[in-house]
Amino acid sequence: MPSIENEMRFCIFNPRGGPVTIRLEANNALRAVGKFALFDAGNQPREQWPMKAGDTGSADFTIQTRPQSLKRMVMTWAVLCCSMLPAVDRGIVSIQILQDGAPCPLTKSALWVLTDIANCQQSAKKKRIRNALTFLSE
Amino acid sequence: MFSRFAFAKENLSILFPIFLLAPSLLAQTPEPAYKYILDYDVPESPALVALGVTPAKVLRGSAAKPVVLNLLNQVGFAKRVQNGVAVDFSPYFTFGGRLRSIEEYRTDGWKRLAANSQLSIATIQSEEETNALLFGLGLRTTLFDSHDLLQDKELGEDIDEILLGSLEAPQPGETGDVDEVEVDVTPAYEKAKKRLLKKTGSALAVGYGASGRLKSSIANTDSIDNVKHTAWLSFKYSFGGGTDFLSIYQGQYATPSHPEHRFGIAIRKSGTTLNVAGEIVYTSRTKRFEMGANLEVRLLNRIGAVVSLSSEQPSTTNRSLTKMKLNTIIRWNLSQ
Repeated sequence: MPSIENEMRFCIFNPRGGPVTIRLEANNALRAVGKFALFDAGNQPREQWPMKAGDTGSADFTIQTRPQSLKRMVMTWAVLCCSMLPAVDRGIVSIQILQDGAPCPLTKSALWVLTDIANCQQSAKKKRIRNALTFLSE
Repeated sequence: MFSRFAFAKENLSILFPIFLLAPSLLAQTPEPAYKYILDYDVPESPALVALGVTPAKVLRGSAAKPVVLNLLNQVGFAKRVQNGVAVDFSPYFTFGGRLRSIEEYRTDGWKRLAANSQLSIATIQSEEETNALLFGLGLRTTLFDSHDLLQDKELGEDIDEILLGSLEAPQPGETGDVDEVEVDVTPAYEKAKKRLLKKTGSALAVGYGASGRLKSSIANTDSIDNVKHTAWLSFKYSFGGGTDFLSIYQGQYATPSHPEHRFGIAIRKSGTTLNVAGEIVYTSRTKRFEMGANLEVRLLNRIGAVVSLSSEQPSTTNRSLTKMKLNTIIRWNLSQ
C-alpha cells in the first residue's frame, strides 16, 4: 500500500481563470519565511520568489506565469519557522493556492501542525518544510 | 537563597562601599550592558512581594518572564534558618492561551495584558514557629513596557532576512517534508537590544498578593491566620544607557481600617553581569524613611543572585531602633 506521506500533491486550477496567488500562513506568532519556485514540465525554473508571513502571520504572492501555461508545472517550496514567544512551541503553517479569490482544491493538504518549535532567540534549530505540488487544469 | 539578619544602625555605612564599588565593577564587564538588562531583567516574584521578602522594596515594572523559579533560604545570623521556594509562571500560555500573530499581540490590548501576566506561589518557613509555614500568592501584570521586544518591528524583519538568506527553493525531486536545520538569528536580537538600550521609555505594572500563615503546616481554613493583602503599582523609566528610575506605591491591608502605605523611589544602573540599585521608601506605619541598596549578579546563563541591604524600623514604639536587613535570593529564569 502506498504511503499517504509520499503521495503527490496536485492543485486543480482553472486555465481560463484569473491570476494564481500563493498564500503562506503561520499562526501562534510564529516567524515563518519561505522560498518558492515554479518549474516547467521539463524541470526548468520559470519563477522564483521569497515570502514572509511577517507580523500578521500571512502573506500573498501572485505568480507571473499565466494560468494558461501552468498545466503540469511544479511549484516547490522551502519554509523555515521559529517561535517568537518563549512560551509557545507549537503552531500551524499552511500554503494555499488562490484563484479569483477562492482556494484551489488540493489533492493533499498543504498544512503542517508543528510541535517542538524552537524559540527564535534561544536555539539555532529551525523547523524546515520542503515540499511541492503539481498544477493540473480542471 | 534568602537570608536576613539584624544590624546595628551604625552599619548603614556598609551601603556606601556598594555604591563606591559599583562603577568599577560595571566598568570591568566586557560584554555590552544590554545583554544583561534584557536577558535578566526578571521582575520580582509577586508571591514574595505578598510575603514582604523581596530583596528590593521598589519593584521594577518590566515585562513578565514565562517561568521563573526562586530558591530561598535564610542563612541566619540573629534568627534560625528559613527555607522556601517561589514559582512564577505566565498563566495565559501555561493554560493553553494562544496568539494568532505578533500583530494580534500588538493590537489586542487584552491578549497583550494576559500574555504579560505573571502568577506566583511561594512558601517559606516561619521565623517564629518551627511547625508553621508562610505562604504567598500573587498576580502581577505589565500594563505597558516600551522595551518589549515583541513591539520591535525591526527585530521581526531582521529575523526574516536571516532566515531567507539561508534558504533555497528545492528542485522538484529534492523535496522531503519536515526536518530541522540550524540557522542562527542571534545578530537580529543583538541589533534589537542595542536599539532598546539607547531608547528612553517607561513601563508600568500592577500587582496583588495575599499571604498568610499555615499553622502546623496543614492547609485547611482553620489553620490559616495572619492573612494580609498587598496591592502595588510600579513604574519604571529608562533614561537609556542602562540607567533606570523606579517608583512604587504599595498598600498592605492586614486590617481594612489600618492599611499600611509605602511610597518608594530608586535609581538602578545595569551592567552585563551586575545591576546596582539604591532606594528610599516612606512607610506610613512608622512615618519614617527607610533606605536600601541591592545588587543583582549574573552567575550563570539564566541564573542570577540578588543581594540587598535595607534599613527597617520594626516597631512604632521604639523609633530609635533601626535594623538592617540583608537578603539574598537565587533566581532561575527557566523560560529561556
